[in-house]
Amino acid sequence: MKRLLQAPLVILVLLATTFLLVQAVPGDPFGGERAMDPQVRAALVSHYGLDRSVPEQFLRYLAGVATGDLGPSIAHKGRPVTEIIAEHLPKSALLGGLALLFALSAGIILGTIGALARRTPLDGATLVVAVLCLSVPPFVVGPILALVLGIHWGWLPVAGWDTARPATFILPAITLGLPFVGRIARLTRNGLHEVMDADFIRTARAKGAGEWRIAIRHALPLGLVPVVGYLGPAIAYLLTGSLVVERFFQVPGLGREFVESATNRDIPLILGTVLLYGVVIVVCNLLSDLAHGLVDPRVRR
Amino acid sequence: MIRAAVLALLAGVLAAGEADPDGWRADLRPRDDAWKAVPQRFVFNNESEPQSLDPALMTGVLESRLAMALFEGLAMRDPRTLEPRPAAARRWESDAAGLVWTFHLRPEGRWSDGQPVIAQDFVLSWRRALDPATGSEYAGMLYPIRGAEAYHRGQGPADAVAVRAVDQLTLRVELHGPCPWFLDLVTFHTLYPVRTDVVAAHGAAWTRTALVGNGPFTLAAWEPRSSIVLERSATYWDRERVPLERITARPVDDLEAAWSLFQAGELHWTPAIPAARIDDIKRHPDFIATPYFGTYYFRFNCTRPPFDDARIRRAFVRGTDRERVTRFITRSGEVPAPWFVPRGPQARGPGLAFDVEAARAELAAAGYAAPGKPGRPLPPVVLLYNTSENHKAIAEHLAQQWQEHLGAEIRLENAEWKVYLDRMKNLDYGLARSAWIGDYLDSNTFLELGRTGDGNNRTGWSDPEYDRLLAASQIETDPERRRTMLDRLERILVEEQCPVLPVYTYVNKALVREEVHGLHQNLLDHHPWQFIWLEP
Repeated sequence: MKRLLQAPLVILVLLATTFLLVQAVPGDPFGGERAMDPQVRAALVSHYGLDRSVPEQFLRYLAGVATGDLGPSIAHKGRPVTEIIAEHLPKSALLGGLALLFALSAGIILGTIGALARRTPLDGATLVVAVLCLSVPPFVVGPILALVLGIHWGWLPVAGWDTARPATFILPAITLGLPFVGRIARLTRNGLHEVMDADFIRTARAKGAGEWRIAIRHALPLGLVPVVGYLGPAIAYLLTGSLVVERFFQVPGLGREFVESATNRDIPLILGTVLLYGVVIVVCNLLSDLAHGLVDPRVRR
Repeated sequence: MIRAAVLALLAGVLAAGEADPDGWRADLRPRDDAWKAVPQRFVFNNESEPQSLDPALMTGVLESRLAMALFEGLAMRDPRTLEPRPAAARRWESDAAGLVWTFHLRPEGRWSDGQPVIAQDFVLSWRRALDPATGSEYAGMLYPIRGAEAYHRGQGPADAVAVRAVDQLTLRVELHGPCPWFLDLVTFHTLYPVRTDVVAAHGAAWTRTALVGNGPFTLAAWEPRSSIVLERSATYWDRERVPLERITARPVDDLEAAWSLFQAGELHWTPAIPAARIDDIKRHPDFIATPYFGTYYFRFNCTRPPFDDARIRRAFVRGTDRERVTRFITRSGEVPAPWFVPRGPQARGPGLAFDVEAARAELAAAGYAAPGKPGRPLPPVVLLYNTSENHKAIAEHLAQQWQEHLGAEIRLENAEWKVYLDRMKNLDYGLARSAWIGDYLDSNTFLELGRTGDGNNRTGWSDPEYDRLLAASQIETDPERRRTMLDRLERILVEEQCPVLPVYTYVNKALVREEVHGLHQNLLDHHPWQFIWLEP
């Protein structure tokens, strides 16, 4: 309950900090290499309300947020920030959802194999795979997958995002999900490992149940508790988009808008995306805590 | 390009007497019907998401590529010669002084909603571009028109802008002085017509939701960061002779991804090449590289020692071996150029050639010692560049050259784009990596950078003699005399005063599939869509 009340405060502090930092950064949101006429610049500055005092700008921004208006983007002329978010967030979310699905299924399978085969060469092999997944960054994995599966063998599209061609989803989802496969595999293995020594498992064994059956029916639900705890931050990260994967595979997601808003000094878009990310992270963490309590009664106390 | 400007001027006078204003188009079209067997769907990489499709607001090359499909100015460029040719106007004439221009519109010109294209559309569109509230960064393109600058600066009324609709199809434009490149400006996107009634009805979102244009194509779909789909217009006056039925522009801003997509056969044309792979891509049969109307150069901060002394600036210019930069660093056919205004493939301009002895003589004259010799060494110099692998490699290479040739100690500082622009504007640098791409095909678009206080000068350099000569060249109507003046101006910039250190002329690098026809290579990388088709 206390954490529920803290959430809006956290968001407000986040927004205020971002607002101040944006003012402090050098660089002009308007114009580029070509010098801009002072008249034109003045007209733009006043159009975006940047000629007002900082506190006034902030209050006006908050008033806008309260009514669901995040202002107009500076870099994308004629597009409101809410429209940009509405356009690109679903794509990042779909990509993140697919990556999560892939990470969960591959990670849990890998981790379960590791736990059952513990202290055998097979366990060692799953460890190596998990560490590889974790440590090879997406900017290396992405081009390799595109080169081998896309260009060399021609099985999958190399880039692009087309709902009429779901095959375009596969490579970015795998690239984005891979580090999470490694993490989830390790968490599953260690969680299961601990549970497999518990008394109730020994009882099940004494009753003559097979090792696989014990693992899946009895141990896995409890062994996955650490994974559930990890999912909150992971989902927040996956849903909001990754610059590297979105750029390399040309996914029209929000991750690129976020990063480019900063390089463009597109203040309304910076604030809008920061606000959104703040909300998503806070909500995911809350949900993860709640879910943790549901699956593990010990946490509730 | 001086020649082109002259031709432009002549074309204006000659067009009046020409029998068929569209005869020039015949050579740019398919010769037989072989193309009809192929689906005419062209997919290309437009490099990034356009910031706007509003011709008055757009600033970049990639936006103008799309604008050329969606809108049509009074005149357009012939993609082979870049001469202005009749487009929305069937013909035009000017008075002997080049001050009053009369454009005759085509009676068959139509907007994509079926309305006729009339002279008043141009009057309202140009006024809109000049309206300070519109926020057009390129409104300066209209300044040769009498009353335009005053209106744009808020010092005069809109109806004092000397553009009038004489009747439905006749537009009269009066200039405040002769402007040798005026027809060049008429081909530019800021001067394209828009439907001001549509803009008023839909506000800033009109290009997204209600785009009405008069060009050969219309906007069929726009999915931000995925694709923009254009389809052949059903109302364009020359629609019967536009081969492409659909153009898909993909905003692939990752160079590696663009290369992958091209290899996978998903793009007909991509103008973006990853620099790190240039050695491989150069050998690709679909690779092309031709000179571009852009100069890679360095600005000297002329307000601070040691570059407040022209002798030191000349020493740096003389001490720069450009050949080594283009041969070992950029490696894509860039033209090493001591001149500032880009030339075509074979042409040469003025400038100081690489000569270490001469460079050291300039140093000695300024009171500094040659490298390894006793005496006063040069103070350390800050070289500013914006974050990029290419700029970094060039900066490191040149720093080493200047160390070796002049004994200069160069401190490299890279800055993120917007910070770099700020520092250059505030003259917070010693040497700054720079580039300039011409806006129209005339030396003036480059030479103006040397004018005192010009927003793009950014060197602090000022020379009243240069300013006076530049102003005179801008109204000189005699082509021969003007050419002499332009040559003199450029010599001041690159041989005498040297506020800039030109390194090379850019090249258009692109991968174009064999079946693409009509993508003529030219200095402006200008490719009108109605002359492109696919044929195996």
